[in-house]
Amino acid sequence: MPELIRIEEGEKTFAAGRGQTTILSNITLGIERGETMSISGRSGSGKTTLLSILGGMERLTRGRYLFAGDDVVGMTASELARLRNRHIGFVFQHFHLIASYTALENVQIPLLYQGISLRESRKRALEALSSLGLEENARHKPRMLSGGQQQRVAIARAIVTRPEVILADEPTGALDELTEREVMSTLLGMNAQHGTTLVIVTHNPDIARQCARVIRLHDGQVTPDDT
Amino acid sequence: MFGVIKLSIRHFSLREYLIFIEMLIVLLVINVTIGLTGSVAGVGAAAFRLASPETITLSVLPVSGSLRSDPLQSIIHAGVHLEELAHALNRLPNVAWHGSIQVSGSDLGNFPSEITLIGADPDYLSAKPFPVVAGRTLSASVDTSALQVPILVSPGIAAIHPLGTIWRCALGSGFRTCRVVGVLPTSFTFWRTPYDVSAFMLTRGDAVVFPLTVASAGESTMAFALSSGQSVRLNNFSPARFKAFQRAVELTASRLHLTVHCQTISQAVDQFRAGYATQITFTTLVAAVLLLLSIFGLCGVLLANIPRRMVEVGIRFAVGSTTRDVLSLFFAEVCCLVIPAWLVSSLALMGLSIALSDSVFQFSMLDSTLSLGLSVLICLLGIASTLGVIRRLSTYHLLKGEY
Repeated sequence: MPELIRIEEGEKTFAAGRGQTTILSNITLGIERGETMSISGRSGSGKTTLLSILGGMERLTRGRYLFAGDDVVGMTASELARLRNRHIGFVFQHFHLIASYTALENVQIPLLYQGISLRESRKRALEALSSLGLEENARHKPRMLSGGQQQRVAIARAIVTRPEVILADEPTGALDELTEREVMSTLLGMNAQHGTTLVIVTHNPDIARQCARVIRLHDGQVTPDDT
Repeated sequence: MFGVIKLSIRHFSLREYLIFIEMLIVLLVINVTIGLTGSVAGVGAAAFRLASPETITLSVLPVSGSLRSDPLQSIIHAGVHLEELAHALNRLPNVAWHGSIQVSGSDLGNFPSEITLIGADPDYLSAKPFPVVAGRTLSASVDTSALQVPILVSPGIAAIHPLGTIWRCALGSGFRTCRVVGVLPTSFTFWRTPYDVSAFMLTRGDAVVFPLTVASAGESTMAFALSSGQSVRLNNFSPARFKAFQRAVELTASRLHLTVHCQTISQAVDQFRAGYATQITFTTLVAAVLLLLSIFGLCGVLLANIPRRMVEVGIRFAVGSTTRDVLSLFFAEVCCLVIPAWLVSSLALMGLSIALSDSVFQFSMLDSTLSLGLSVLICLLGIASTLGVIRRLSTYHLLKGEY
């Protein structure tokens, strides 16, 4: 399988007071199309930062990052926004739905940023929600939905643009065991059904084990794959 | 982007309506501020005016309707005074002035016990003949030995010829030597009197002749003249009017010893300026405080709104929005709040202006537009502060609420 994502000798530092803190160092990583991969590690190991870099929300301080062969490090802010909008779907631990919007409208947002009309985006968002069994909750606001439903709305928002990769940050961290299984099943189903690459950040070994490939981060460095 | 804006506006919540109300208050305050300070530039102009003490505005109310019925008197009292005023004011650099004169109020019997005369430049009358009315001029050349006709003069003339001054006055077909025995107040009722007690009273011999055909104000005026040692000849004087005259003499006798303060125009201007500056300072301070409170209030609401909006901004960034998209969205939202608030406040102020007959507050479209501009500016500052947070933080930090 061709590589979708390639990071070479990546390094990420943040300013801390007068000095700098290195969060990631010497990261070299390749992720193939259609692959399922989990990134695990202890708190502060840099896994969320790595996910942010993979998603174009943060930039590498040093090193190289190629997404489908394109150099991400050299992209402008609007090119990065376009990359996130068209090629990457995000699922967050706390769902991050806009509270005042309905489930349907939350799913519509990425499509609207693509310039798609309200009517067309509504149709496509409804399809995405239906595929996750949420058609009856389309007009509900997040506060009226359970945690599992909210996460599935977030997944619908992530997949509505048919991205090549879904990046999930602790997607089941705020859910109970039963809902956790449902959400994981949904995410893995997306991978199986559409070949969507799935990268999950988790500290839960059970979740990590469900992915074909596991990488661990320790003090900002990748330890050998545990596939 | 249009779809994003439409969706956002459709979901305006209580917070947005709170901002709307704040906007409304800010707009009202700005408008009233501008209205109260009486200038298009509002507070700024008031401050400028304070910084430019030589720029003043004199407002003198219009001549009353009854006076207009007698053009001659209008010319004498309004024209003389204004011409004097114009002359004096025009000699001051950068002085702006406008207006006409108010002639209304009580008759001589209701004089205050103290009056202040606002006079003209003493050089003025000697520099050129004083064209009061066609065919009648005043002259400084006097025959002090001649019989003096007691006259009452307007405040403007009295300023250069205070009580006791002797002068020549063109009266009827000839000139007479006159002595100023009294001064008409700036507020004086003419009571439809065709030829009132002025510098141009009709005289016969040493007596002042009061035309009493219509006047009801004449009694006290006569009493005044009488008390100054003049004999009075009465025309068309009925017994009833005579009794009234006697009563007026008794009533006004105690008030005839007037204390007269003479004041030049320059002094009057200084006094006016001092009062005006105080008024403007006070109004400006009140307006500025109100404005600041409103702005702080609005900023408070905007800032309280930032945490919620920042997470939302993070979400929008994550799904593909750019900074420009977010700012466009905020700006569109602000416009959707400010423009209706502006319309509502303008209508309210227009109604207020009509209800108060423009006496306290006068609505001006230009001022209103200016207030809209200021409000948008305040909102843009609010958006700019948001931009600072957005630029400083990454999407991930925004999502985590770390700002």
